[in-house]
Parts: sequence; structure tokens; C-alpha cells
Amino acid sequence: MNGVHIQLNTRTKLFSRTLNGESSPNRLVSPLDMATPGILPSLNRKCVLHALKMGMLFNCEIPKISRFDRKHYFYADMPAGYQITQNEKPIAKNGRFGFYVFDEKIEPYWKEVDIIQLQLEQDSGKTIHIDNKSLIDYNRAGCALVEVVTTPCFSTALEAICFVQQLRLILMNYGICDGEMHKGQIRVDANVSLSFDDITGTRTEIKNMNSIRSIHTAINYEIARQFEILSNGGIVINETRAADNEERTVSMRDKEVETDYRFMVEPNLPNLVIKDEWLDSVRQSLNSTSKPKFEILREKYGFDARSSIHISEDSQLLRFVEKCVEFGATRTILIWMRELKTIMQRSKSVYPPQSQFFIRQFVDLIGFFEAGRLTRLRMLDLLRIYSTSEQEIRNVEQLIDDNNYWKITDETEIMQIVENVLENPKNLKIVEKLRTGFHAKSFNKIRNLIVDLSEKRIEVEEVENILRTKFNLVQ
Amino acid sequence: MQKIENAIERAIKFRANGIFVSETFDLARKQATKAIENGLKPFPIVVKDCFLTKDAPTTCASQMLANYIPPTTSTVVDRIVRKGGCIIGKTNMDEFCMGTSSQLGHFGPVKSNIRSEGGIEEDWMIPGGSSGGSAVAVQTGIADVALGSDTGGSTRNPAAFNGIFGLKPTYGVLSRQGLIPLVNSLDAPSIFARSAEECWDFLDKTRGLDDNDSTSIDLPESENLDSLKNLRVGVPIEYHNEKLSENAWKIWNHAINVLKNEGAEIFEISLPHTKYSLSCYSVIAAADVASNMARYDSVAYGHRSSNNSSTHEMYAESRSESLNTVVRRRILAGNYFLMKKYRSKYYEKALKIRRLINDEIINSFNNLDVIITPTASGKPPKYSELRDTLYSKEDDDDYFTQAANLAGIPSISVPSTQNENRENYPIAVQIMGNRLNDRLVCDVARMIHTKF
Repeated sequence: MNGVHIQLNTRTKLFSRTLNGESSPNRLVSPLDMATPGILPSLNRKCVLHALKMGMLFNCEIPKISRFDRKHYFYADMPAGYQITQNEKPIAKNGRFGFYVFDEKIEPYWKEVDIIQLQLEQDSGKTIHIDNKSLIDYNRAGCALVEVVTTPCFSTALEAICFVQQLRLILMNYGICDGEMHKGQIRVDANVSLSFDDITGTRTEIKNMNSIRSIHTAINYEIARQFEILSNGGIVINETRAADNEERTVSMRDKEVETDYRFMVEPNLPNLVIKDEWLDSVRQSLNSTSKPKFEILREKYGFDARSSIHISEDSQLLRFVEKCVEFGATRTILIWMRELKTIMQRSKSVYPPQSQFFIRQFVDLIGFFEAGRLTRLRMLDLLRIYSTSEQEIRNVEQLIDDNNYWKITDETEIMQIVENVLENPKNLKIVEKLRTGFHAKSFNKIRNLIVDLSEKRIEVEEVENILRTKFNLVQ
Repeated sequence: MQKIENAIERAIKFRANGIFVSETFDLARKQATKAIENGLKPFPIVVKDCFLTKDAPTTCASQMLANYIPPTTSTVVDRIVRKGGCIIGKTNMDEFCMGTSSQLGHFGPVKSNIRSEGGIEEDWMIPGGSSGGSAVAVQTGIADVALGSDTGGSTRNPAAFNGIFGLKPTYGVLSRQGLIPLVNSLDAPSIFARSAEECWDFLDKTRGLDDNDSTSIDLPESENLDSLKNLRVGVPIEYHNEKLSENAWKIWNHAINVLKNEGAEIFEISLPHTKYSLSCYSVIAAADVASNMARYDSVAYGHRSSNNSSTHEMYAESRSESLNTVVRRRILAGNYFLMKKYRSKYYEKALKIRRLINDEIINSFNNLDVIITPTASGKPPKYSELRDTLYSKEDDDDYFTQAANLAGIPSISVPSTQNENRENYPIAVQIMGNRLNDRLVCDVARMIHTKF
């Protein structure tokens, strides 16, 4: 069982009317949030609607009645001595979530996981340790979380991070969570166990990971650690561990004993009966929101899974790509985006550029290249000009016309240029060398001279082919 | 205004009775001035010290909250103050409402004013509890009405022991916002007064939905009842048991006769599950207590021990130092009942029994308007008696009142007038009605009392 804690981006907290947000310590605290006695919880409707939205997105059953429970444990930043959560009757259950698994090395594949339940619950405060003092900030105490609880279904750390990555993008798209992981808006608990011959081993739980990177390294570390223990005939202890700053997991000593949470029904809140009109409004809101950007890039524009997610995770990059596709670009821009990035980084310009004019020229250039009207080298030159010079205001077509940068397609014209170089007396010695067999240095020299003479209007590869044929060279 | 000054004078006169945890005379004067400005007639009230009051400490008679001033005021207190109520003081009680004697709180015992001719220094009559201070304040005439709380009888029992009226309304009719909980699903803010009319009047002024209490409900408007004719009255035989004193039995019979003479129809009924209410209540109450008391970790507020060697040491020491034995015992028991291992054996069983008790009582109202029973087993004990029997008598009395809380129904304790009561100790009967029939039980109480 794995849990992803999603902080809902509602205006106020789950059971109090305190603002949900950022502030200096202990500024966003009401009596309920710090559990002063005699104050009752009142459920925030918006949080319920957000949770229902998640339920629908993840294809969950949504029971007519759900209810809240108290989960007891002592922790300094948990002021009531219990957390109000949903244990037995959650707001949504038995769902399914599909996502792509990918990295640089593997062919992307589709995976579906079973979601056991979604539970609405309170967040705790934060303990800050300074020297030997522990200070508590209650700003986060009582904020609304939805915990997404999945079955033990992930085979690799990669699957786990791809799941979280895509979950995050979807929740952000539908305005449920702001998705800022470094601020703890998404926190992951991962249970790790090794199995052998289908016998599942003892699991450990790594708690509270709040970056994709730490999820990846911590799970892998934990797998290696358990493998090592088991290989040496040892026993894995069922315990709670934390990811440290050095890509390891460490035991959290205070939780070695299994906690008995002594669940009981929260007596101050009646059963939550889901009204049909809430479901209708949630359905409507989902239908009127466009699909997540990464899905659009993939489904409509044919981007591969990895790039579409990579692009979606960077709002600047996403804006750039969206503009490009709006101007008619397709997934082939990916190659040129890499070139553009290198060029711009070299010239210390800001990548990706956001100027509409540039993006238009960029897309047109790619169009010309793909139509076989520009060479690669000329293309790079032009990219350099447009991405670094602020003066150039002519559009690319005009500029290319004016300077006649178009690729030479006429065979005789090409041969003419080739002959000019080969017959130039200055090059006689080099040409001689080529006649006697393949000589890399001479070959390249001649090739470059030809490309230069053409003003980069013949493709390098084309020149090479011509030379090979002409001198009957085998490489 | 004179009324408020008189109340303050009386409060000073009865200081030896330990009625108050905090006297709030200046607050009362301020509230009186404000009431007059708003064209209202100020009247003195006292408030049990488990209701939050922003302007005065709220201690629950515990060292844990000895210096606690809450950030907000409870809904019921706020509503009654808006109608002209002036708080003379916060009244003494059993620590965190746990008890039926008001003797073991951190600030000392509450001493009844009943039969106090021989002085109250050495020994005294028990005022009942846990809302003992509020009851004595009304009995001594300091306040016309007082706010108490009733979880298993904590208002009706001291009302009976002090010869005044005590009304526990239907669960939810008075908001629990600002009431420091004992058992959340049983707690009802409750009312003391010297007449049933005043009880109703207070309820009428403070009842109704509260956005801050999701379990609050509205009371439907209902007609005033003027006659007991044809009223269907149930008399449950299970309340006639070995614990009931002869005198209390006589008074109960007398009340039934009064009803009969006024034309009511009397039915003997059986509520066989009532006998389990005590054990059922013990388990449910302990579980809620364990949970509700978990917040007192002394981190952000409350008594903190000087032992700071570790966080857990600090929690444990602070709690051990500042919570009395009764409270600590219930916390331990409650955590035990909620443990995974024992939950189904105790807690879940108790919930099922609660359902049986509830259904049995509610079903009986298909054929009945009210049920009449004794409020307590007999006359109030003396402090010395209670001490010598290690407070076991508290349980005997709980038997008579707990069922109404388990079923969430309204119930009012009606004191007998002295003439039929030869021993001259206060003894009372209670009238229970179906849920939301709060007006009915008050009306029946009023009419019985005139002949009682």
C-alpha cells in the first residue's frame, strides 16, 4: 500500500475558516487548528468537491455516505492528539489510474494501478528544530489533504515516479492542487518490499518524500539495502524510514513499535451524505476543463510520452511549445529545440524564447528545412541570427530571399561548385591524395571547401556522397 | 442593575460553599450596562466552568487548565448574554465533568446549602454533579438560571439534590460549540432554574442551529400544553430496583398519582436494556474521554511540568501532575477499549448496546407521550458517607439518568414539594419525552409541580 498526500488548494482549511496558504509562522491558525478545547470542526464544502473531482478523475466508486474517523497518535505538531481522517468509509474507493512509464533508456509503456481509496484528512503542523530547541508552526495544521492510497502495484522506482509525475500534472490541470512539491503540496509514502518466488517479503515504509528525485533515489536505495540484507541471510524489519539528504533511507527511531491508532468515529461530524447536485457540478466542471497539456501534446500532436510530460512540467517551455504547435509545428520541433537550446545557452540568452515573432520564424524555418529548402548548417546559422540578434526584424523568408540562402537543388549547379573546388590549383595536392585512396583529413578538407563555396547551401552529406562516388571511395 | 448587585452580594455571602471557580462580578456589571443600553432587562446567570468564556478563565476545575483563558465564547453563553444574561461567575464542578459529586475538582469541593444549619465546615450535603456549582448557585438564589452540562445526568442529578429544576434538552438543540467535551455524542448543555417555565424560557432563548456545530438541530415550534388529561405516561419497572430508596419510591408513586388525578393514563412499561446503560456508558464515555483528552499535551497551552527531559517525558509528567485520578483512570480505560485487540470486544459491543437502549426507548414513545422515573436513587448523601464508600454511590445514581443521554431525548428533573417528603430532603422525579418534545416535558413538569 502506498500513499500520496495531496494538499488541496482551497481558500480555507478542511474544518476551520482559517486561510490556507503561506505566511510567517503561526499566523494562519484558529483555535480548532491548534486544538484548543471545546471547538468543533465544520467541514469545508469546497474540499469535498475537490475530493469528488479526484474520485471521478481516477474512476472511483463514490459511495453515497462517507464518514470521518479519529486516528490517534502523539506527535508534537499534531495538536489534538489525533488526526481527523477517513478510515473505514472514505469519500471514494476502488479506482484506477493509468500512466506512461519512461526514461531515457526504455521504450515508454502504459501502466494502470488500482486505487484502494481516496481519504479526506487533516494535515499536521510542522516541527522546526533549531539547535536543541523544537519549534512548532501550526500554519499547515488542519489544511485539507486527500490521501491517494494505491495497492502494492509498482515494480520499480521508475514506475513510482512516473505515477507521481502524471498524477501531479493532472491534479494541477483540474485546479485541485498547486503541485509545488518542494513546498510539501504533494508528499509520498512508499512501501518497499522484495519478493522471491511470488512470496512477498517484509515491507518498510519510507515516509514523507517531497521530490521526484528523492522518491527515485530513496526507493532504489531501499531496494538495494533490503537485497543486501536478504542476500546475507538477514531479516528486514517492518519499520518506518525517512529519506535523508544523502540519497539514503534512515530508520525513524520513534516509530519502531507499531502504533495502534485506536480509530474511532469522529463524533462531532455527522455522516457525509453526497448530494447528486454536487456530483453534477463536479462532472460539469471536469467536462468544461480541457485535458491536461501532456495528453494533448501526445494525443493531438504526436509527441512521445516522455517529451510531452517533460514539456508540461516546465511552464515556460510549455508556453513555447504551445505557441509553436499553434503556428503549425509538429513533434519534429523537438530536434530543433535541442539545437536552439544549445545555441542560446552558448550565447547566454534565455531559453526558451517567448517572443512571438521568433517563434513564428522558428516554425517557418523548420517548415523550410523539412521541405528540403534549407540546409542544416544554414538553418543553424539562421537560428543563431534570430535567437541572438534583436535587430533582425525581417521575416525569415524575406531574409533568405534577400541573401539567397535557399538550398541549391539544381544538380548542374552543385556539380559546378564541386568542380570549381577540385580544379582549383591550390587544392591540387589534396585532390591527388584522394585519388590514391581514402584519406580522412583530405576528404574533410575538400568537403568543407565545397560547403563553404556553396555558402552552406549544399548539405554536408550530399557533398560527401558526391566525393565518394567521384573518387570511388569506400570508407 | 440592582438585581445584578443583589446576585453579587449573595455570591459573596455563599463563598464558603465553593460555588465558583472564578467570580466575574465586573464582567456581570459590564454585561448589565450593555443590556440596558440595548433595551434589555439584565438578569444574573452563572455558567459551569466547562463552557468557554472569552473574558474569563475556563478551567474545567482542573489544574491542566487552571490558567486557561479561551480565545472565544461558547454559542449558548453568547446567545444568553445577548438576551440580557449577566455572568456572575464560572461555577465549580467535577474535574472535566467526570463525577456525580462535585467534590474532587482542583479548586476544592462544592458544598450544598441544603440542611446546612449545623455549618458546612466539617461535613456537608453533597450537591450532586458534575454541575454542582451551578445547581447550588440557583438554590441559593445567586442566579435565576444557570448553565450546566449533562452527559449522563450531570445536570438532573444536582438539580434533584438541590431541590430545583434541571432540564437536559434533546441532543443538539443547544449547540455544543464552546462546551469542553466529556462524551461528544452524549453531551448536552443543560439548564437549572427554580421553575420549569424558566428552564423552557432559557432554552427558547438559546436553542437552534449553529453553523459551528454540525450536530446542532432546530426545535420545531410547538403548542403550549395546558392539561394533563389523556397524557400517556409510561412507568418503566426497571427503575424500581434495589438501589432505589423507599422515600424516592414513595415520591415517584406520588408523582404518578398526581398525573392520574389530573386525567393522565398510566402504563407500566418495560425497558429491559436499561440495566446495561451503566456499563455501556462506561465504555463509550471512556473511549471519548481518552480521545478528547489527548489534546492536553502541554505543548501549546495548559499545565506544563518542569520535567522537560524529553518530549514524551514532558507529556506524561504534565498529564500525571495535573489530571486527577478519576480522569486518568478513564483515559487509560478508554485507550484500552479502543485498541485494535479489544475494540470489538468492548467498544463495538457498547455501541451496539447503546443502539438497543436507544431503540427501546424511542419505540416506547410510539404509544407514550412521556416516561416518568426517579431522578436519583434517593436523598443526597453527606460528604462523609460518600468519602467512606469511596464514591461508589455515584454509580447508583447514574443508573437513573444515563439512558436519556444514550437516547438523546429531553428530560427534566422535577423537585417534590416538601409536604409529601417527610425527611425534608430534596427528592425528584424526571420526565422524559421523545426527541424534540422539549416543550412537552417542560409543560408536564410545570403542571406536576403545582400539585407535587
